[in-house]
Order: sequence, then C-alpha cells, then structure tokens
Amino acid sequence: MSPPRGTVSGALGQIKQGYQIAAVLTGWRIQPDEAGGAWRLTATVQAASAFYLTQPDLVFVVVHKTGAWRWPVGSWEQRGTSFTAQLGTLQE
Amino acid sequence: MSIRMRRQATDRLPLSQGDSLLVKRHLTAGEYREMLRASMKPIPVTSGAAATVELDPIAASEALVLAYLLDWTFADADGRPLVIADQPPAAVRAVLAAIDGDAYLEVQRAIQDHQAATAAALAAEKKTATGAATPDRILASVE
Repeated sequence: MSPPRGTVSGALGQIKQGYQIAAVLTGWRIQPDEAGGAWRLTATVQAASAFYLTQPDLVFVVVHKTGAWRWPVGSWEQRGTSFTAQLGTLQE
Repeated sequence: MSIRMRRQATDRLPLSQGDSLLVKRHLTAGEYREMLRASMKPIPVTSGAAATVELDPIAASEALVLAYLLDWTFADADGRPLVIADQPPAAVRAVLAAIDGDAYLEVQRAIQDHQAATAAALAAEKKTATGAATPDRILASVE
C-alpha cells in the first residue's frame, strides 16, 4: 500500500517496544505538528503497559492489508485515556 | 544481584515446503500467565462444591501457539501473504483457524519442540550459572 500523506486517522493502532505491545490505541489521528517537521499522534488508550511504555525505542504501528506502517515515537504523554506523542519519519 | 529479565530475542523455525515461523525465544512472566489462563476452562459448579478450572487441551495448544508466534511465511490460496505480524491476537487466532489442519498441526509441533528445547537450554544454563548440585552430588551427600 502507498504510504499515508497529510493527516491520517484510523480505528486501531499499537505502540510497540520490540515485539511487545506497550499500548493499544483506538481512534488515532496523525497530523503535521504546528511547528512543522514532526508529526503529532493523538489517540485514546485502551490498554497500556506501565513498564513497556517507559522503555526506549517505542514504535507506533498501524496494520494495513499487506503489512504495517511504523513510526518511531519520540516524546509522549498520557493523561487518563488521552494519549499524545511526537512521531518520527515513517518506516516501511 | 542477578539478571532476571531477558532481552527480546526471536528464533526462526523451519517447516516443510520451505516455510518457516518467527517465534519468541522466551516468554515473559506475563505472557506465561496469559498462556496458562487461556489454557483453562471452568468446571461447572455442583451444589456445595467450590468453583474450579481444568486444563483444556485444545485451548492449551492454541494458547501455546499464540504466545510464541510472531510471523510466518504462509500464503493464501492465491499466493498472497497471510499477514499475522503486528496483528491483534483475535486476528491471528482467526487466521490460525482458517489454515489447513495439517499446517496448524505442523505449527503446533514446531512450537512445542521449540518450547522444549528452550526449556532444556534454560535448565542447562542455570546449572552452569549457579553450580547447582547434580543428582549424583545430592545422592553422595545423603550417603
């Protein structure tokens, strides 16, 4: 599938640390940060591991028909069920 | 102080017809508990008896596969990859239910062998690391 461009959204995504699931996110949306250059993820947390979320090299993973899109996660914040993060460049 | 957490590691298990599985080398405590939980079925409570559970062999085999399996090289009838990597457990379970019975049994056997091999390696590793008494030495101390 062709990579997503501009603002994209979806029903289900995961934050992964290696092959472990650090968080399951629903209602996610990715849009260019106002400052430019970075991408901002907003989503609702359905389940999260307080341990794996604190580990390095987190990746936001969205599954599509033939594989998955993966964005490295920079800084992130969880407030209740609200999750926001800065994402790096899409890895395919 | 000893290390009680392993780095994530994977192994590729060869199957017939050039296929292979990508599996976790070890399970974490949480994954092991989840596998046990998914392997049990409740026993109907009779009057005055305490509620309990028993091992469900069918559920246990699926729980084992789901606990270890990360990816594979399987394709559908049209040759398109059957994608399971990064899929939620319910989606992987659905694909496992849709493949051929023989293929499922081959996956199950490969993962059972992998689990037995890693358990044996762990046991050997512990003996080497701790210098634990071998049965011969235990018997000798009793005499």
